[in-house]
Amino acid sequence: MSAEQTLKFTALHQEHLNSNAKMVDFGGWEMPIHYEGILAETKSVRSSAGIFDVSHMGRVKITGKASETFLCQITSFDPRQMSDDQAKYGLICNADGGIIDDIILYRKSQNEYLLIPNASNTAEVLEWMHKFKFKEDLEINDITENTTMISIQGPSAQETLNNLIETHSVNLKRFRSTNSQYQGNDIFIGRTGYTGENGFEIVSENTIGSSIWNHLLQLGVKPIGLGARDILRLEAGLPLHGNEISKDINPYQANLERFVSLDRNDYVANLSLKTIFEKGKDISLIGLKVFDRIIPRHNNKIFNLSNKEIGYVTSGSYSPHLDTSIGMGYVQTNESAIANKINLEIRNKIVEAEIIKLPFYKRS
Amino acid sequence: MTPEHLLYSKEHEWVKATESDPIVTIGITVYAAENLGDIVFIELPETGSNVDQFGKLGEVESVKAVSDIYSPVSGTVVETNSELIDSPEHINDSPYDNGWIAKIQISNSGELDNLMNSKEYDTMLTEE
Repeated sequence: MSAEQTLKFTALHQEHLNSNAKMVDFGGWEMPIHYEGILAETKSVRSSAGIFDVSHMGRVKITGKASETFLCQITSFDPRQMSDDQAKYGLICNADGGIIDDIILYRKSQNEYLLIPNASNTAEVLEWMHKFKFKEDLEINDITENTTMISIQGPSAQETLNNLIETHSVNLKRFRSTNSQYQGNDIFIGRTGYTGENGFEIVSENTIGSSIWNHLLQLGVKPIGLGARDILRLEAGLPLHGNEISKDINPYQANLERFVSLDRNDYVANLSLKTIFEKGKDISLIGLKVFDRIIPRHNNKIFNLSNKEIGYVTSGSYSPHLDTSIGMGYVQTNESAIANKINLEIRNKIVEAEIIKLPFYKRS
Repeated sequence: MTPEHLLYSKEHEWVKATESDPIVTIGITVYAAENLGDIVFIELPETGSNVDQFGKLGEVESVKAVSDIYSPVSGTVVETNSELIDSPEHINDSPYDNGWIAKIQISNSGELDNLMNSKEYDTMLTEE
């Protein structure tokens, strides 16, 4: 986006400033990168719980009798196999099998869904969806700017949720959702997240967003910025659109084939993904561990021990969990075996690393 | 807040110099450390290497960004703070003390005149 364009604020913007957040441009939104510090915030989420303003992510309501057949055309999984109140992670691919975005789809009923694209992709996902909206009995409503989404993540997320909603208990299995109430107002809760921890995401009207946020702060839960969120998702081996996945990457290269269900003639990418699958993948996503604390950065080159360039880094950070630097990247599939030693070129230095199995962090 | 007994460069390094001693200690300021955030990696210069005033001395890296460290004086590196290799967070916790980066034998003490005192440095910060 151009510098002249003004950044959007979430309903919690003033709350972030009150907590001394450092704000940055993220996908067209002014969002907190950190409050007390990235590593301290990462630790809060791993050891107790933290709250994130994820209102910049898209919220698209899909309603009407044609919803299910409509979604069948665009999601990498088969929405017909979802049950009511289920949530599913998946991909939206173009007709060539390239990844437009990764999404969470919450199914409330066969005729009502909530789809969550990434902030910077919401407009493109909406545009793509409208290409398939030829049926009556289908409504696509972007409710992003009218609603607030707060994520509670960490080992004490359930306890935090119980303390927030005192009137009734919310017992959700993983990847399930429910309509609920906060002080007499309708809210929506899904047991989903992007940190590798147990957690919940709460969608409310903007009018009560700051009440929920401030209530959570009063309960002693720390606010967490995008800096810690990036470390948490990287340690959990979760891809970030724009880094690990893009329209130039297909789900097989990104090791996301478990989120793809083929043999669906109504799915727009069915044929291309089938062809890609049969051909086999040329490059594969890997996890890498650096034998040092220097951080690999996006587009650093990867070499094998014979000095042949075999790929590139997509994300990197220091990992508090492993106390070393880690990253993800793509290498030629025949070079992608676990425990392979590799070299990274970071700012003209050669740094030793090893391919390791993802995720880097798994909660016990 | 800015220690008065140190000298400062525009690139936010500090120098601790005493008149009789040709060896000075250098580090980065609170302002630089806070801007970088949590520092997780440092590349220290090699002992014995020669550096030029305002030339590159090393690198500090935080989760957010990488930043070059410039030597505020010309001379020879006589010692580096090897504790920072395993505990670079000392730079955040104690930038003027445990977070010192290197000791340099200065080759031209007149160069100290190119640096700022604490008042001048504070004035520069308010203008940034």
